[in-house]
Amino acid sequence: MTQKKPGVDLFPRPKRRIGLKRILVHIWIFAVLGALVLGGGIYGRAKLDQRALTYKQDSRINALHQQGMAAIQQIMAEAAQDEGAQGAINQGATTKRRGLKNTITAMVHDGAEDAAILAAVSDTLISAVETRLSPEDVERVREAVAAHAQEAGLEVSKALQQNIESLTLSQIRKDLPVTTPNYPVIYYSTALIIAGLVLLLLAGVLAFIWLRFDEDGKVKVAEFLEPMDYLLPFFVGVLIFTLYPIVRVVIMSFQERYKLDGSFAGWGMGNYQYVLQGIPGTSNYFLQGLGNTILYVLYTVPASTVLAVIIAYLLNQKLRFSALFQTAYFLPMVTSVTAVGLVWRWIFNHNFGVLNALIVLFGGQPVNWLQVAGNSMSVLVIFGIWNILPFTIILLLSGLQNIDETYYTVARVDGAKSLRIFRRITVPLLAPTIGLVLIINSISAFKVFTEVTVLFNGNPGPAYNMYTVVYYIYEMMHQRLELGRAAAAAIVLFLFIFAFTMLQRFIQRKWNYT
Amino acid sequence: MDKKTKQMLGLLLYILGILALVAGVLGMLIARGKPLYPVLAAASGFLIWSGLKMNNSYQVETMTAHGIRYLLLALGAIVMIFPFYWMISSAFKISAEMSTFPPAMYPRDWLNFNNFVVAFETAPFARYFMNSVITVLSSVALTTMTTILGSFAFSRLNFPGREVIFSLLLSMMMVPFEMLVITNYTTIVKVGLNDTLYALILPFTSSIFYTYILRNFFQSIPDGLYWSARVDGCSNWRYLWKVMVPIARPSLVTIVLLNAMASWNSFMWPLLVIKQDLRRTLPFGLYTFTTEVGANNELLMAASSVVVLPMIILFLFARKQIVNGVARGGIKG
Repeated sequence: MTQKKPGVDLFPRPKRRIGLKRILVHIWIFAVLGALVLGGGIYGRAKLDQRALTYKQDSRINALHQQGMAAIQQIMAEAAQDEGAQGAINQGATTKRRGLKNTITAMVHDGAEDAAILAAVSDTLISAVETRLSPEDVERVREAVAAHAQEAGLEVSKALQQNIESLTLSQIRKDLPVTTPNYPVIYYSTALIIAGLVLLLLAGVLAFIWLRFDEDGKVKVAEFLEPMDYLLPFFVGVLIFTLYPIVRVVIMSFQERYKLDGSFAGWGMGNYQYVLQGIPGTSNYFLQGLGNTILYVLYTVPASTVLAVIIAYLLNQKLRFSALFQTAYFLPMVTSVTAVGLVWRWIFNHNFGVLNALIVLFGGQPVNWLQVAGNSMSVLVIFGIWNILPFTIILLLSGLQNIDETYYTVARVDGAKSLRIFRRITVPLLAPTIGLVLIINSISAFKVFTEVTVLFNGNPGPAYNMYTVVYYIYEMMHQRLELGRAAAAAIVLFLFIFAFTMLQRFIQRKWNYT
Repeated sequence: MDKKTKQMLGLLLYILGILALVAGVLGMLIARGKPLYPVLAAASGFLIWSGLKMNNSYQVETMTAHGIRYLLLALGAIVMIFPFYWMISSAFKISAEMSTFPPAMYPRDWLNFNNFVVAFETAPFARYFMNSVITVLSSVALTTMTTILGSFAFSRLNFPGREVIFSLLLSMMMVPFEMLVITNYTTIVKVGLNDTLYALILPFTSSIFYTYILRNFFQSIPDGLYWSARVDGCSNWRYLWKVMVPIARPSLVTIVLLNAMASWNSFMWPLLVIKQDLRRTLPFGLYTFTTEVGANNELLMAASSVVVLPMIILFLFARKQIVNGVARGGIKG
C-alpha cells in the first residue's frame, strides 16, 4: 500500500516489470477462441456427416429405383415370353416409374430394409401389369417374380453396398462444391477441431500454471508470452502465405499434373520432364521462355547499368535544378508498369506512334514494332531499360555519395582532369555497388512478366514468340490450370534466382571485408 | 602574337564553332539531304576544339564541361519524362488528332476532358479506384502494424531462438513471389476468398523485408533509452509506441510509401484471383479496358493518367523519403 505524500517523490518505486495479468488474459482468450474454433469445427463436421447421409440415401434411392426396377422388370419380361406381353410390361412399368420413386424415397427415409423396398417394387409392378396381360400371363409372371426376386434383390443390394462403402467422407469433402454455404468451415472441419482442442489445451496449461506456480515461475511464463504476442500477427501471415507455400510448392512440383481441385496423377518427376522437354514434336515454350528471359537480362541489365553510371555521375556533382532532374529521372520508378506499358505501346504504334515519327524525321523507314515477331525483343528491351533505369540510378547515386570526398580533392590538387578522375577514382570505388546493382537488376529482370503482358496485349508476343519464365508459369497456372507443371517451372526459376542471390551474398561479404 | 590576342582569338573561334554546330544540326533536321549542313556540323567540332586549345583558360573549359553536362542531363531527362508528357497530352486529344502522322506534339485544346468522361462511362473506373484505395489502405495498415510489432520483438524482446528464426526468415526472402503465388492461389480458392477484396489484402499482411528494415533501425536505437524508460516504470508496449515509433518515423514513412507503391501497382496477383469486373483494382481494370476501347488510344491514355496520377503526386510530395528508402533497401516496392 502506498500513501500519497506531499512534495516531490525523489525515489519512486519502480512498478513491477511484467504484469502477471497477461497470463490471465491469455487463459481467457485461448479458452474463448478455442471454444469458438472447436464449435465451428464440430458444426462443420456435423454438416459434413449430414451431407454424407443425404449422399448415401440419394444413391440408395437411385440404385433401388433404377437397378432394382430394371431387375424385376427383366424377370417379368423373361416370364412373359411373347413380345406383346413384354411391351405391355414395359408400358406398365413406365406408368409406375414416378410413383415408385416417391414410394422408395419415403421408405428409405423411414428406414426400411432393401428387401422390403424391393418387395414393394415388385408388388407395384405386378399390379401395374394385371390389367394389361391375360390372366395366365399374370400368373406366370407372379410365379417367376416370387421365385427369382429374392436373389435379384440380393444382387442389387450387394452392388449398392459396395457403392456406398466406396463413398468415403474425404471423397465427399473433396466433391463439395465451393458454393456451399460455410464451405471453408465444412472443408477444414477436422483441422478446426484439432486447432480448437490445441487452444483449449493451451488455456488449460496456462490455468494450471496460474494456479500452481509461484510468483517467479509466473513471471517467467509471462516473460515468455510477451514476445509471442508481439510476433503472432506477423507470423500468422508469414506461416500461411510464405512458409507453407514454399514447402507446398516443392511437394506440388512432384505431384504429376496437380490440378486446382487437388487431384493429381501420381508422384514423380513428370512435371519437370514436361516443363523441360515439352511434348515431343511441338515447340517447348518453357525453354523458349528461358532463352528469352536470359537474352532480356543480358540486353537490359548491362545497358541500363552503363547509362545509369553516367547519369548518376552527372547528377552527383553540384547541380542547379537538381530536384527537377531527380524528379524527371526517378518518376518511372513509382508509376504502374501496366499504365506506363500502355503508353509505350502507343509510342511504339506502327501508324501513328511518336517513335516512328522520330525515325522518319531522321530519314528512316517506319518500323512495325509490335506486330512483327522479329522486333518484339527490341520493344521489350527498350521498355525494360527505361523502366529499370531510375532504380539503378538511385542505387548508384547512393554508392557515389558514399565515396570519400578526399579522394576527389587530392586528385584535383594533383591536377587530374575530370574524365581521368571518373575513370581512375569513381569507377573503381563504385565497383562493388555496380556489382550489386547488376545482380539485383538481373534478379528482377529474370521475373519479367507484366511488361510482356501489357506490351503485347495479353499475348506472349505477336507470334507466341515472347514467352518468359514467369509468363509460362502464369499461363500454366491460370489458363491451363496445370498447377503441378507451374510449380516445377517455378522451382527452375528459383534455382536461377538462388544462384544470383548466392553471388550477391559473396560480393557483399567481400565488400564488407575490404 | 601576345597571349591576350591569342586568348581572344580562341574565344572567337570557340563561339563561332558553337554557332556553326547549332546551325548545322538545325539545318540537318529542317533541310534534309543538303550536303552543306553535315559539313558545317563537322567543321564546328574542329572550330570548338581549336578555339579551346588557343584560348586555354580555366573559365571557358569549365563552361564547356558544364554545358555538356547540362545538355546530356537534359536530353536524358527528356527521354525519361517524355512518356508521361505523351500520355497526358494524348489524353486531351480528340480522336482525329490521334490519327495523324507525324503526330501532333500537343493537343489543340488542353481543357478537353471529354476522354476522361467517356472512359469513366465505358468502364467503372470510379469503382476500380475505390477498390484500389481500399486494398492499399488496408494492406498498408495491416502490414505496418505487424511490421512494428514483429520488429520490436526481434530487436528488443528476448525469446529462445530469436536469431536463428530471424536468419531463417531472411533466407526466405530470396524466394520470389512468383513461386509462392501458386500455392497462395490454391489457398485463396480453397478458403473461398477468390473474387473478393480480402484475397488482395490478406496475403500481404506481413512482410519479411519491411520487418528486416525496421528491425535494423530499432536496433540502432541505444539500449540506455530502453533501460531508463523501464526503470521509470514504462511497459514494453508504452515504450514501443511512445519512444520507438516516434524515433523511427522516417523509416516508417519509407516503409509505408514503398508498400503503398507496390500495392497500388500490383498486377499479377489481382489478375489471378479476381474475375468479377466490379472487384478489379485500377491496373487490372485498365488492362482489361484495352480490349474494350480497341483503337481509341486517347481513351486509354486518359485512363492511364488516372492510374498514374496518384503515384506521381505522392512522388512529388515524398520524393526524398522514397528515394532514400529505395537506396537503403535496394528493392523497389
